[in-house]
Amino acid sequence: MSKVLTDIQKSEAEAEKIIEEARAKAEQIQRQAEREARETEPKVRQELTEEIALIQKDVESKAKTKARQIISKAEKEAATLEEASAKNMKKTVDLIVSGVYEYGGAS
Amino acid sequence: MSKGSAADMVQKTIIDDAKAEAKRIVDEAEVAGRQRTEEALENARTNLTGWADRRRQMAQDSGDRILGKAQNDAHMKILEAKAKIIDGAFVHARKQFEKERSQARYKTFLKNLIINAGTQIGGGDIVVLARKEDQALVSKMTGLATTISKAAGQSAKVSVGKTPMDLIGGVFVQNKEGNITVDYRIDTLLGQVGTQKRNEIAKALFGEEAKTE
Repeated sequence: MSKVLTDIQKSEAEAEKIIEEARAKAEQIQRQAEREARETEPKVRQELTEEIALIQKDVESKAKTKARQIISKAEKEAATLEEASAKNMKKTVDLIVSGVYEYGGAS
Repeated sequence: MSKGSAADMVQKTIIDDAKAEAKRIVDEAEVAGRQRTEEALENARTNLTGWADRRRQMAQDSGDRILGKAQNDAHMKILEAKAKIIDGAFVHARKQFEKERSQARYKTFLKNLIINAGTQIGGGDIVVLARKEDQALVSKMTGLATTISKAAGQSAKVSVGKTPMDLIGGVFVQNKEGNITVDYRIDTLLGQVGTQKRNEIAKALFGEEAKTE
């Protein structure tokens, strides 16, 4: 009878150990979850920072390409203006000269 | 059922119950841990939404700034090109006046300038300052004093300043005291034409209104 009791006590001790181990593991899981929770915001911030940096790089790259096209178009337009205005230069000079002569009432 | 077997069953039950309880404890901890992680992630996203939106907007704005500056620079290039061409037209016009000095219309023009200026001054002793080449021309002009006297309603006397002015043409007219002056130098008049006829000049050159500022 006493052996039966001893065996049962052993089993109870073993059961207690199993539960203690489970509690220890649960605490470890909880601590791990808490640690991960504390690290979550900096981690998310870092991920967002990297994501936004890529967006910015892409946006700036596209904008710079378009900016070069805009400047190039303006340079061509400026050159075209110069060529187009050359044929109008004489009549413009006449207009200016006439404008000056108007001050003397003789345009 | 033997005695031994009953004890074994009790022992097995104790251990099985403990294992079940242990599993429940660990399972609950895992569920709670997952919930904590999800909550933390949700909180982080909520907390960082505004910050991230501002940063995204700043990223978009940086592109807009680059484009805005390019559009502004492009606009300035066109304006500068037009201003340069208009300046060129005035350089040509100035050269044109250097050739005009011997023409009849220039003489008439000069005479009218002196009459206009003398009338504005209101007659009296009128001194005409001119470039060296025009001094003799002005000296030979007849009827200046009479015309000015009539227009100003006061007698007038016109003389030519002895010191020639360094200018391409036109006159600088003043009273004897030099406190009333009328600036009809060609360079001054060119400047006035440039201001007053800016749009007309741009239209003549480019077929459109001036946008050079």
